[in-house]
Amino acid sequence: MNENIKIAWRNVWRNKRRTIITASSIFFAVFFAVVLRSFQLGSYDHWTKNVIRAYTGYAQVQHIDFWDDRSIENTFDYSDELHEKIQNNEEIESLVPRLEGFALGSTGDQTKGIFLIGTDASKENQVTKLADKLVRYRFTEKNIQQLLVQDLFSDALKEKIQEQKGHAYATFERIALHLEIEEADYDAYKETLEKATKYEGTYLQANDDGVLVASALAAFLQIGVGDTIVLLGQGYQGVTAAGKYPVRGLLHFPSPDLNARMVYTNLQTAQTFFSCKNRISSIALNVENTDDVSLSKTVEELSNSIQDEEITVKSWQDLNKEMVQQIQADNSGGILMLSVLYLIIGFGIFGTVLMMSTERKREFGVMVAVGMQKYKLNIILMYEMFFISSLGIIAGILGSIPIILYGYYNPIRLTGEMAAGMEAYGIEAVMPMMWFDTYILNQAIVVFALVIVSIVMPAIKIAQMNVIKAIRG
Amino acid sequence: MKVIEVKNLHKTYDEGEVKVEAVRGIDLTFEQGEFAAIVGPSGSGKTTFLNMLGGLDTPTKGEIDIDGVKVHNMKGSALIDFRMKNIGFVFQAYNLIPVLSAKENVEFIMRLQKMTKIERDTRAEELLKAVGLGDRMNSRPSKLSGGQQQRVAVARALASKPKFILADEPTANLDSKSTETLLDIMEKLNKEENITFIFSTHDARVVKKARRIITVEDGKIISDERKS
Ligand SMILES: Nc1ncnc2c1ncn2[C@@H]1O[C@H](COP(=O)(O)OP(=O)(O)O)[C@@H](O)[C@H]1O
Ligand SMILES: [Mg+2]
Repeated sequence: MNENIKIAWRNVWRNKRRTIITASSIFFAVFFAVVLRSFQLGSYDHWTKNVIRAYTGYAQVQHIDFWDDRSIENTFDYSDELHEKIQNNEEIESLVPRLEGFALGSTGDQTKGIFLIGTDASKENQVTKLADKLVRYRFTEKNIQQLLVQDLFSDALKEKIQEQKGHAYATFERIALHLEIEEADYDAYKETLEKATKYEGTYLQANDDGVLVASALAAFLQIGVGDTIVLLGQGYQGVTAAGKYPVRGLLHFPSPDLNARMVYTNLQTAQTFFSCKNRISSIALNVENTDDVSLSKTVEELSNSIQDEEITVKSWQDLNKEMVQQIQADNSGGILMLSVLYLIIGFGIFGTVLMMSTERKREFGVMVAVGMQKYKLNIILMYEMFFISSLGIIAGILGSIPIILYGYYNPIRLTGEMAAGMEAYGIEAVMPMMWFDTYILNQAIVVFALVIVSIVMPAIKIAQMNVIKAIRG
Repeated sequence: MKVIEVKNLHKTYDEGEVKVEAVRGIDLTFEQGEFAAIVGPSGSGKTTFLNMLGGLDTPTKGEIDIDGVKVHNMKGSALIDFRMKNIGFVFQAYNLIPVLSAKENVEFIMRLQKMTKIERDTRAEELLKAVGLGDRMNSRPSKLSGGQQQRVAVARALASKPKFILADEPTANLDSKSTETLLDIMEKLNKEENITFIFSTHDARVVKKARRIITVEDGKIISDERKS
């Protein structure tokens, strides 16, 4: 073994207590930082992916005024040429043309403002997994009564079931969440609940002239699968728009706002309704490389290739400015907190390096007197700090692994107001942790940087050391 | 053969208000194989003189010539290298690197000189046996007595095959028995291996063993006697 490494290693264990204290402080800092970052970055990732998946896609091609005014006038011609230009970009994985506009939905007595989205149903499903929102379970007065007579449910659970009146769900997991049924008890209730609440809807087929209606809207209008909805509105350039459409299925949106007004049709159906053949308001895009740098490059490339004053290309960040700002603010808060933590740890490291060099002045003096170059003392000191900090870093990272693994696979489920708030944004109310990524390495880099900064002053002292004085002690 | 030639050596400490003339014009030569003691009262300039001789301190004036090399002109890392290759040191105390065993301490300087492992091994063992520590080779300094530590220091000083060994009051912290053992070892090495030893002391028993006694007072040599 290298002599300097050997000396350094033994010195590390010369004062075990100090080494362990220093390594422990680094351990706590790294552990805390990794766990905190994993939570933060995991949440951001979750929020953004949800928003991207729920509606916007990674980027959108839009009419230039559409984002501020979602009028049917702010649409553009979806030419083959435009389609080609977008499709030809290698980064584009899938694209969904949409025509969007306001209308009134009516079923005899009840009328309500709705937001109509005409889309390519199968492509829409590729990008936003719309079919997953199809209502498969519904709690009506009738099937609630049917459930309440069962002995299977406790009184508390029956109370919760009663509260479900009018609610619709796309998955059993969400029913369980709202009824507060533990995962372990799924098997006990699943069959009974599913059987009683089962709701048969179908997703839009190609060339389907039907509609999918958001579940709260459907409840308000008192319609369901097999019924017909009448849509009324103003079409392109002031033409009156009117049509009658069969309901194929209901959609459940976590966001109450969306759940109260969304209606989906095939693109052609909407184009016919609004009398704007071949026009669309936006194209949602999914890209190959989703990182910020690649995405902004793709957005720029698309803008350059489309070259149309009427059309703009926006990334999901542009489309969700408020969320991006919130994330940035939250993120700088987290980083500030860690900076303070690392500052404190840095002073600890500095203190240790200083002690390790000053208390060995005599020894250093003898080593230089008999012929060791001074820079080698710094190398030894560097190795010593490398060992101590690595010990802390490795322990910190190892310690955080089980927590990250657990938090990744079993994200914390939020409840109460916080959960409601997130769901209102269309975000599933969970806090998953971030999978292992560079943020972990960054903590190690920060600690090593602190070590290097801490070693500067002792290094200067060694360079200026007077051998005779050092030996005299 | 002349090993060291010192001409008109001066050292003045000029730190703060008082000027201290620690060495005031020393002229001396040392021959290969000498066993010389520098004696004199405390504060007479022994340590200052030996430090300059060993290239640990720079003279204010004068010349030190070691085997043709003008040491008084050397500085920095070149001087450190010169010490490593040419001079053996034994200090008053705390000579050894605490985390290294006796053998590793002896090897330390040979590593600096980039000797091969086999060479280091055999030489370190040989030298530790010569100073009577063949059975303590793997002990750390903290497990050795003061006298044993000084013997390891002598072995280390010898390990680098220096032109001479400087020892500033090597027995100052030792009891009389350890002092005698250390001196006997140094004397034996001097006689059998022709190693040049220059040491300072104010211990009469140590002075007795020396074959040349240089007496210093107020930074000047007042006598230089050789015994046959
Ligand atoms: N670094 C220094 N600064 C100022 N004065 C010093 C220094 N080192 C030694 N001296 C002075 O130089 C004189 C000689 O000291 P020294 O060489 O240590 O004598 P000795 O070793 O014979 O006891 C003393 O008066 C001492 O106080
Ligand atoms: Mg002295």
